[in-house]
This record gives sequence, structure tokens and C-alpha cells, in this order.
Amino acid sequence: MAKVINMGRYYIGEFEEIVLLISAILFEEAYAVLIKAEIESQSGRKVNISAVHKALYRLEEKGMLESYMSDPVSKRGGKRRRLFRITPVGKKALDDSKDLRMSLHSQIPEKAFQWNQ
Amino acid sequence: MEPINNLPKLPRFLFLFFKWYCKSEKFEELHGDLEELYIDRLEEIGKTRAMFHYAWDVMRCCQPYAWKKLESQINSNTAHMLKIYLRIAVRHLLRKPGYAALNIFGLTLGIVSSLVILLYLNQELSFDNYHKDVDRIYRVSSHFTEADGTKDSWVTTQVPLGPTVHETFGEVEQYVRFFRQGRTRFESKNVNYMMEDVYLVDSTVFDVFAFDLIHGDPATALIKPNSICLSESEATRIFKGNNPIGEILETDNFSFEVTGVYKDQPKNSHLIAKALGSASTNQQMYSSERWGGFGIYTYFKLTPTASPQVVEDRLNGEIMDTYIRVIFDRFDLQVVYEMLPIRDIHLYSEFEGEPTALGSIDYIYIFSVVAIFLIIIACINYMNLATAQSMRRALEVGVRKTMGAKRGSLISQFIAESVVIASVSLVLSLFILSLVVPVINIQLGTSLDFTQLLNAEVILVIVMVFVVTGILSGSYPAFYLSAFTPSKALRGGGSAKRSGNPFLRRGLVGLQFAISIFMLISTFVINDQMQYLRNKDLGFDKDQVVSFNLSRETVQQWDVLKQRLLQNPNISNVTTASSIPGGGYPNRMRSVETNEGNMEDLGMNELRIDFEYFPTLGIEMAQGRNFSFEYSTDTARALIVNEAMVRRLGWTDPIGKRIQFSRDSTVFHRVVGVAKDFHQSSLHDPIEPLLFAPSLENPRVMVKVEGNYLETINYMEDKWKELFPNRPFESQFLDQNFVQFYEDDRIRGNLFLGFSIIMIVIAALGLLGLASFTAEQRSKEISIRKVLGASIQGLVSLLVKEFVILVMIGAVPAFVFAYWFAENWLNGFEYHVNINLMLFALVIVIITLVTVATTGFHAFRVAQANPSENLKNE
Repeated sequence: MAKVINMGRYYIGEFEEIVLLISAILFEEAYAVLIKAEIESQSGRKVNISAVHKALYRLEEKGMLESYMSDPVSKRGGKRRRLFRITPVGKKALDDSKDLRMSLHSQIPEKAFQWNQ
Repeated sequence: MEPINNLPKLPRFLFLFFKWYCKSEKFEELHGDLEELYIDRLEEIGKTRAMFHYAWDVMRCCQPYAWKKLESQINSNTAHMLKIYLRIAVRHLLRKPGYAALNIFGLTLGIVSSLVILLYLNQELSFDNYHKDVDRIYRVSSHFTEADGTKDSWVTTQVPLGPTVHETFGEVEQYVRFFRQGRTRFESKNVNYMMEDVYLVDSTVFDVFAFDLIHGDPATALIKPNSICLSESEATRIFKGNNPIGEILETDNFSFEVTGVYKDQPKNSHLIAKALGSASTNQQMYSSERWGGFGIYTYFKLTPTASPQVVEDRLNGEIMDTYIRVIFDRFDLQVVYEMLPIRDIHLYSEFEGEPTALGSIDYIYIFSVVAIFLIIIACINYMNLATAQSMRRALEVGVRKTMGAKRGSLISQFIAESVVIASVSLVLSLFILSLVVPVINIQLGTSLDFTQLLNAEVILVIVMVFVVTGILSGSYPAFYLSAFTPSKALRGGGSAKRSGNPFLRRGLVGLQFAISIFMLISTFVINDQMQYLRNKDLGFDKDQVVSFNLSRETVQQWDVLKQRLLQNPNISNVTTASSIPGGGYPNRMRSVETNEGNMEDLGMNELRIDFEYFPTLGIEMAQGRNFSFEYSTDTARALIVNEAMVRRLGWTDPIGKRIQFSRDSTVFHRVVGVAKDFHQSSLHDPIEPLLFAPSLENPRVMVKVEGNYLETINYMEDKWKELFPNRPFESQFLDQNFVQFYEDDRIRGNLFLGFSIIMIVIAALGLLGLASFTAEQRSKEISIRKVLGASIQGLVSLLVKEFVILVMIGAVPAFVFAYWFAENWLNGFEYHVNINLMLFALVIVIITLVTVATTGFHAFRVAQANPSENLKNE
């Protein structure tokens, strides 16, 4: 199955970016349930666990995250968690995205924000 | 390593579904996440909602990232073919979205309605099945046959029966007795709470019934006198969430200490208790040795090896001989005990005095048939539409066959198509169902529970429905289509005659009509009867009568209250009686003078009434007179009977007949009047023979109100508060009581109406599809006829006629069955309408109109088309 991946730029969507950022923040503890809770508390928006799963697996496919299994956790009946960790590619994607935004931001003429004249 | 089996209790069906679709290598991490979420939510929002969230998550996670790869499961070639079948099926459906929508919509309607019925049946059939060792629990009830052959059956038994039998019978492991207290006033910290369905019970109740104690110890909670256990909702109502254990509740007669709180019983219980007091509280009643009075519920739990038949025989043998014959033989009254399994009570009991309204096994059958009808109609639709489409597919079949497709693979392909449709409908149905169940509950007054669908049995039924609709309805078109010979199929065109077996298809449509007609007639008959019940003259004036109760204390002040009430010009009459119309009455042994002048012992239904009873309720005297203060002996010696009693006793001259209240008594009461018959209870039952004895102090008050209700009721309340400032005043209208009798009938009537409308809609949908197909098929014929001078009306009627004939043919068996059903159903009512044959005609007209409207639309379109359009290709 051929997947078309945009190799030139590290393109990620807005939600993926949030997931990637939070995975990086939660370093060593980043797994789906915690990421979901973190998104909800930090951004105030409700997300379904499946959306987080989907984003995590896609980011892994794109090489921005790597993952490994934790030790068994008793809370989940002895099941292990899949923990995610940001890769250099992921960091690059975040940096690019941030740079792009900053650069765009700085180009806005001051007048654009002055409405009452 | 932790043990894996400390899984939270998740719905098995959802868990298996998840396991089914999820890749095994991802199962651990994904389901672990869901479990963790579930456990977090459990604390946060409670079990039910957490479960719904879990269900939602399972559905949401059903996405490609979690899916198994088909290839890894099955032989890769088969899997590949299966994928292709599904893909082609989906493409076909998408190519004809209108047709697919019609099909899916029809099937969904059918499935939703039959699932609603399934829920209803599941609830009805699951009554009392939650008790531990339910197969060993029986209730003892009593049959009576009197000297003159009058028969009665009561759910109740005598107080000493339970303990005596438990002591002497090795087969009886445990017993429990329920002493019904009815509506009771409880006082806690000077606030009054009225509570329905209060019982005093033996402390053994927890060994027999599955009351789930949240607080308190089942072994000791009800042993001490003056202990009481409350249902959770009542405990919350009274104590507002504070721990009620140890609190004191006062009633008119006793003072209780709360020793337990139990979870509210499931709705599928034949006996619902809001509070259970310890029976030892009422020492006098509890230890009564009277074998003559039947008034309490007795339940036995047998030992695992005991045979219920043996116990019943011993009850009717030794118990009867030792304790009961000695009392009743001299009255020539026969008593026979019957043991009814607790699970059968709701559907099979025919005893009087049940604690809650019962269902009926007949309705279980009727609704099962309705559900099957619905599925049949929906399947027929699918079959018709699919075969009608066959011509479009003939070319495809021809090409496939030429390319070497085997018949088997073609069949699989067509079945795959119907399975796709059925799956989409099923998923859609479950979704719709979760939305409509609450609406149905509100609209129809039912208490269906959507989560019941997660039961194993229910899932089994759903799977069966799915298999039947998907595979069975798909198989006919599949076998039919795959049988095309390629040469004929490829030649195409001009093959209108071979578009499916027209007889079979017509037969199926005819069957649909027959079912719809049957349902519609039945619905009309039911509505007719309901109307009749609402409007029937009950023989007394139930409108504008307000009733309320007097307690043992308030009745002392009744005379004062009565005078104050009568001062209001809007109150024309007040009366008191031992029960209101619609309420029950005791049956007591009395010595009665026969027509020949001998005295005979008979059970008499007895109401105690004051002198204003008949005038207040507008009941007239057929003979003789009402009780009157002009006769000084009336309060002590006079009696009134109703006409039914005169008929029962065969009196030719009832006035002056003598009745002794006990055989040894020296007092002879005499009948002074015969009241016209009125319906003391529901119209399901015949008018019972009644004896009216005069009594000036009675617990039920009825007030005839004229003019402004609200003002008058407020006035009554004010007067009540003047005399009894601490007691709540609660009144109800007499006719409310009567509405309750027909509540179940009303619900069933509404369900029937809903289902017959749905059936007609489904049938009409199928017709629409079929008509569009036949009209198209015959478009060339129509065009030629048109060129030769046929009128549009003529052409439309030509096309419509075919279907109208089917309606007529379908009507014949439908009429026969509908008549038979209506007659049987109506006979269940002692008073009922006659079957109105005009209804049958009306139904035919309705169905014909629907048919003409659906088929005529397409016929008209084809007939209007320009002939040259259709003929230019020849």
C-alpha cells in the first residue's frame, strides 16, 4: 500500500500539532489517555480517545513520534501502555510550524490591528 | 504480573465486539486505554453513564487504525473476493441511491419497530427473574367454591399458613409473608410523608426475595419489632441524602426505627414495596392463629430437591384437613391452594388482589406475531425491490458468467448486497432506537429500557433477525438472478416477461396487503373499544366527584367536617363508604335467606356505606328504598343489595329477605332496597353481586362538586386544615381511578396503532418501488397504446388496476383473521362493542387509496411521457 507522504515539508494538521506538542510535554509518560486528559484541560475542548489514537498512529507513521511499551499497569488489568516519544523529525516539524507562524505574525502590518481609526 | 481477570464489569457484547474488530497486536494498548477511561469515569459520573461512554468509545474506535487486516484472518483469496463483493455491493447501492434509500428506510423501520416490541416482550417475560434461586420460589394462593357454586380466586392466604408449613414440611426451606399496609402516613421531624405500597414482612424476606440492602444487615434488619427498611428513593425523599439508619418514623399506629435501605426494585417485579416494616411490629396480627381470614401474601422457597406438586398436595391434604375443613365445612365452602411459581405471576396469574397490574401471556403472543409481521413485510419489500431490479443486473450477470463466474460466486455476491443493506439498516436501527425509546416511554406510558438490548438473549434475537432479513430476503433474488443464461441475459431488451416470477411477486405483495389490512382493522376495533370504555355509562356519576381518605383519628371529627363542607353552595352531597367505586371490598360469610325461606351460608361482597351514598353517586333504587333516618332501626338492621345480588340468589321478592351476619347471631338484618347495578370495578369484569351495610363511620369520603372545581377543592382543603392542621389533605377525582383500569389497554392500543401505521408505510414504500419498476417495464406497451389513442386515465387505471386487484385478494384472508381476532379480544371484556363491519369497508378504502396514490404517481408519469421518447430506439 503506497502512502503519499509529503517529504519536502513536515506537514501536520492543527490537531496533530497539539498532540505532538503534548506528547513532548508529557515526556516518558505520553500515552493516549493522559494526552487526551491534557488536551482537555489545556485547551478546554472535548476530544474522543479515538481521535487521539488516530493522530498518534499517524504521527508515528510520519516518523515524528516513536513508541515503546510500558511495564504492565494494574489499573488496566495488567495491560501495558504504549508510550510515545518525540523524534528529531517531530521536533523539526514543530519548529517549522512555529517558525512559519512567527514569520507570518511579524509580517502583519500594524495598521491591520487598528480598528477605531 | 498482575492477574488479567480483574477486568471491570464491562458489557460483554461490546467487549467482544471490540476484540473482534481490533488487531490483536493493538488490543492490549487500545482496550487498556478504554478500561482506564472507564474506571476514571466510574468515580466521576457513575456506572450507567460510564458504560454509555464506554459503548461510545468502542464505536468510535472502530476505525481503520484499529482494524484487523482481513487477509491475516482468512485465506487471502477468499478474503479478497469478499472485499470485492462488498465493494461492488456498495457501488451498486450508491449508483441507485433512491432505491437503496427506499430499501434501507423500509428495512430500518421494520427493524426498529420489531426491536421495540422485543424490548417490550423482554421486559414482560423477565418479571421477577432476578431473585436468587427463582425457580424454587412460589406464592400460595387460594381458590374458593361456595355452596351455590360461586367461585373466587384470591392471591391471599391466612396468617398462620407460612409458619405452620415451614415448621412441618421438610420441603419448605423458607417462607415470607407480606402484610399489605397500603397508603401510609409517615412522620419524621414533624413533616408528613405519604407513602404507597408499604408492607410489613417477616424477617426472612431477604432469604427469599432479592432486596439489595445498601445500608443495614439483611440477617438482622427486620427481626426486632418497630424496624423498617426503606427503598432508596423513599429514603432520599425523606432524609435528603443523610444516612437514615437509626432515624425514627412515626405512623398513625406505630413508631419505626430505620434499620436498612434497599436499592429500588427493578420495574419488572410483580410486587413493589416502598418500605418494609418488621411484621413483629404488629404483634397481634403477626402471631394470629386465625385460619379463617385470607388477607396476606405468603411465599415459599422450596429446598432444591423438593417437588412443588408434592408440597401443593400436602397443602391441600394435611393442612387443609387439620386447620381449614374444621372452619369451612359447615359453610359448605371449599378451599383449594395453588402454588404459582413467582416468575409466572405477572403473565399467568388469574387471581384477584394482585399487588400490581399484571400482563397477559396472550399479549405476548399477539405482539410476537406483530413483530414477525413487521419483519415479513420489510423482507418482502426487499425481495420485491431486488427482483424488480433484476433486469438492470441481467447484463452484469451475463458478462460475469461469460467470463467464467460460477453460480455460487454470483449468489454470494447478491447475498453480500442484501447483507450490506441489512447491516446498514441494523446499525441505523440501533441508533434510531436509542433516540426513540425515551420518546416512546413518554408518549405511550411504557418503561422500556434501551440497555436491555445488551442482554445476551436479546443480542441473539437481533442476530437472528439480521440473518433472516439479510440472508433470507437476499437469497431469492440471488438464486433467481444467478440462474440467467448468459446468452439470453446478454441479448437484453424485450425481456419484460422474465423479470422475476410475477406470481411469486404478486403473492408477496398480496401478503403484504393482507397483513396491513389485518393490522388496521384490529387497530380500529381496539380504538373503538377504548372509546366505548371511556364513554360507557357506569351506572353512577363518576364525574365531578372528589374523594379523599379519613384515618382512624380524623374520622372522629367527620361530622364537624361534613357540616362545614356542606356550607359551600358548590358542594351538593357528601358521603362516606368503606371503599370508593373502583376500589376493593371484602368477602364475608353470611347466613342468607334463600328464595324458599331457608338460611344458607354464602360469601357476600360487602360494602359499608352511609345514608348519602346512593344520592351522591346518582344511583337509583330499582326496588324499595335507600337507608333513611326516618326508620330508627335502619342503622342496625337494614341492608341494601344490588340487582346482581338478587339475580345470584334468585330472589323473586327481595324486599324483606333476612340476612344474619353470623349463624349464631340473634340479629336478623332485612333487605330494604335493591340498588340499580353499577360498575363497581372495571369493565373487564362483570358487575359483582354486592351487599350494602349501613355504617356512619367510614374511611373514604366522596364529595359531589358543582361549579368551580379548583375553588371548591381549595375550600375543602381549608376546612380540612382548620380541623387537622398537621395532616396533609390529598384528594383525587373519582374518574382518575377508573382511567387506571384501562391504562394497560390504552398502552397496547397505542402500540398497535403505531405499528400498523409503520406497516402501512413500509408496504407503501415497497409498492412505490415496485410500481415505478412495472411502469418502466411496460413503458413501451404504454406508449404504443397511447399512439393508438388510449387516454391517460385509461392507461393509469390499467397500471393501477393490477395492484388494486391484489388489495382485494389480500383482503379476503385478512378479513377472516381480523374478525376472529377481534371477536376473541373483545370477549376478554365483559362489556364490549360489537364488531362494526363498516370498519372493514373503511380499511379497504384506506388501503386502496394508499395503493392508488403510490402506484398512480408512477403510472401517471409514464402515461404522460411522450411516446416518441420511449419508442425511438426500436
